[in-house]
Amino acid sequence: MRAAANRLTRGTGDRRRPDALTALSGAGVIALVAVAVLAPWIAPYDPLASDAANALAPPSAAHWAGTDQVGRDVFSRLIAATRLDLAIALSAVVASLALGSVLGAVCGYRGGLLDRIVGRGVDVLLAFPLFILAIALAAALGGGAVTIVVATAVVNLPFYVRLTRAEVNARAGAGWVEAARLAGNGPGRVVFGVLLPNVMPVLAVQASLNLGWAILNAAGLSFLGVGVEPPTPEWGIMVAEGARYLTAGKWWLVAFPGLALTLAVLAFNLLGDGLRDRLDPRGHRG
Amino acid sequence: MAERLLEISDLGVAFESAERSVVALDGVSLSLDRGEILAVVGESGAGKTTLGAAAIGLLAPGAQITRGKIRFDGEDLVTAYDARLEAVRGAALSMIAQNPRAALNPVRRVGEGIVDVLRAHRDLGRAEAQVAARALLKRAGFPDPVPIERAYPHELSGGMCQRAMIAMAVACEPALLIADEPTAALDTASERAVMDLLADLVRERRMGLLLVTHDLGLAAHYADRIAVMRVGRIVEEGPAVSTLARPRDPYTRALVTATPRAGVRIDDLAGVPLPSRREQGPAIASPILSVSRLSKRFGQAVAVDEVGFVLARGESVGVVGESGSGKSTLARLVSRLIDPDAGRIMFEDADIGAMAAARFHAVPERRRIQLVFQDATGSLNPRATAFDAIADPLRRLQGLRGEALAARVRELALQVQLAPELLDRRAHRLSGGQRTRVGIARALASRPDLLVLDEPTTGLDVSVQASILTLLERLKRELGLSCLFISHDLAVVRMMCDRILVMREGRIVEEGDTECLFRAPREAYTQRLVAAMPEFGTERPDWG
Repeated sequence: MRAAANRLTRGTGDRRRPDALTALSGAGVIALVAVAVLAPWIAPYDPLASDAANALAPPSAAHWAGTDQVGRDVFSRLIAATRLDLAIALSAVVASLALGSVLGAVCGYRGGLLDRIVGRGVDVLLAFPLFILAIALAAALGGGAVTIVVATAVVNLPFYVRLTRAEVNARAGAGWVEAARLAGNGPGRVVFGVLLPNVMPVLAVQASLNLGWAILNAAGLSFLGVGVEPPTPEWGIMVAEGARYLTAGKWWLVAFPGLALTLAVLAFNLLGDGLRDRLDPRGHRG
Repeated sequence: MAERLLEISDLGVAFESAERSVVALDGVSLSLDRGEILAVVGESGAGKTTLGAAAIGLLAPGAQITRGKIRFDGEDLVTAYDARLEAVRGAALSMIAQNPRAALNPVRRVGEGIVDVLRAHRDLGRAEAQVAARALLKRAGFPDPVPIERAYPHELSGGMCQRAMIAMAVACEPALLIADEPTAALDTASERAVMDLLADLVRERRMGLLLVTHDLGLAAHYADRIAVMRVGRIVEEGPAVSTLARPRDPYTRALVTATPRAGVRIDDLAGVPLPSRREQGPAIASPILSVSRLSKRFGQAVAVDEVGFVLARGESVGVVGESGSGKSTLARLVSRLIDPDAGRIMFEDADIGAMAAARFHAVPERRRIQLVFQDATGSLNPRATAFDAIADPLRRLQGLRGEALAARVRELALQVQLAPELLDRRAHRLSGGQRTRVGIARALASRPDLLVLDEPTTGLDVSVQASILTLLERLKRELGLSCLFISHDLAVVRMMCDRILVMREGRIVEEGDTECLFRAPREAYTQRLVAAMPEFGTERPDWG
């Protein structure tokens, strides 16, 4: 009877699946942040202290990731670099999120001339290949961590402007926005007190996905020599310096920073994907 | 061919999910003969739609038949094989959905859709099927079917789509038609055309029609028999007219009482005495609102066209008209959400039409003119609680903070009969009626003098609508509010308003005292609207 009755219904799918991947990437992000915050206490050696007698030693019990050409502990340098790279990526993303969401929200709500000017400006930025633009900016501004932050933030800005503008614009005519106007809220309060908080979850997803990209961008600029300068420990520089010894079989100089970079980017991207799935109303169960 | 077409006995359906099982139908039995219209009525959650879907073997995912039998033309549908069901469906059973636009394939021309159905179920060549499709469209009330055949669904109005859908549904001469709220998305004039067509086809082709509806007036007028459902059970069944005229079951009686219709006053709906109206002295005869030659266009379309009217203090004026007549635009103009293109809006002595809508939040009149939205759900910020929604105007327009604010919010909740513990909830955890109450409380928060109500009870069940209307009437009388009441439902406006404006295509075509206008409408358009009002509960109405 039950089986027969089943034929009258269409399949009953349980859409909620265990989200182990998101949980794992979340744990990875937490671990990265912990390493960054606690870097000076967990690094076994001074990341800048050289030991010429012990240069280019392969991984061992004393030096888990080996030593580099001047005998610095690669593992300690990786830990110190985690702090710098995360700080650069986070500052850049926060900067473009803050500026982009404000600009996008105002344009999306008001429209008009400002919207058109900002919109075309964004188009111009997007007309350049992003990484090339970042290199040009970093080169023009001179090296250093702040330069990378600025270059990465500027290159990311268009995405936040466009996303916020679209999300705010789609909601600007909603009943609850009109209700806020009736309640005596001026345009400023409507945009920043009512609309923007409703768009925040979407922006948070974008920011999380963007963090991975920003880390890659920062490392890439340093790799090319327009970012952070040696001997500062930074993943991109470590890869660049280690590459010279790769043909000599000193694989650990490139492999470990490369691995750290890969894991960090992967963790942020998977977390962003997971958050997006969770926020997507189509994935929701009532 | 037996007379008995559909026989449902002791049917039980439950929605099963991992966490729980919800009973949707609990021992429903009914039968339907050829050439008969059976209306299944009830409020949301009664199981009407589930019953209709079960009868055609199209239950929603997750729904399980737990017991009972569905016999269609002598054949048991519950145990029928899928393949057999597929053949039966479309050929012998057919369904007309609530939203015709969503049910028609948007990238197929209407004619092609009908040809597809014909060829899938009958052995017809393309040319033959095309001829048959044309004849069907003609029968569905399109005297010139060729342009309709070639049209895509989005090029047709809602009423035309629904008639095309009916043509498709009857294409294979099904024995049984299930129509689930077939006119819910249509305005009154299209509603009548669609229902007349369905009723004629049922008689002409000796089909059976299971009409699922929440509208007692529709059921009374078109159905032979009526089954009243409540939480998965049929509480009363019988001949449509006499059942509604003399309901035996208390629930049916409550439904009939709560349905606004001719001759029913708001005091009858309430069931409890309402405060008496405030006496209107000569001093307050000066208008609170006077609108003259007001116009608004959106691109090429004229939404409001040289509209003028006066609203006296303490008066309630109704604005009626079909969808697209410009009612809502008028409401938004008067409540200063959008700017007019031309014309004046005088609020007492202030020319508020000349003040930009974008800066109106800072004007003292903002506090005094408020709006209750049509869509209670869409007008609540998804992130805000009921408390936040009601507190917002109090903070901004009255500068209340802290304990004074909380006390006033609680007072307002009490005034609109919203339980205080619901104040912490967000919109998605409130029922439709509760959301409407939050919307009313928010509009009343700043103690406005003029309240604009834009279809405040649309989408609510009749019993909830009755309680909201009663509440509004009580507040109106207690607070001495002046109201502009926008509605497509003439029966509601008739109860709530002193005067009526009839709008059509952006213009006011007729204006008058409520009773005069309903007794002797002058314009043909108004006559049509008035004629389409549900009247039941006494005798078979003449809808002329």
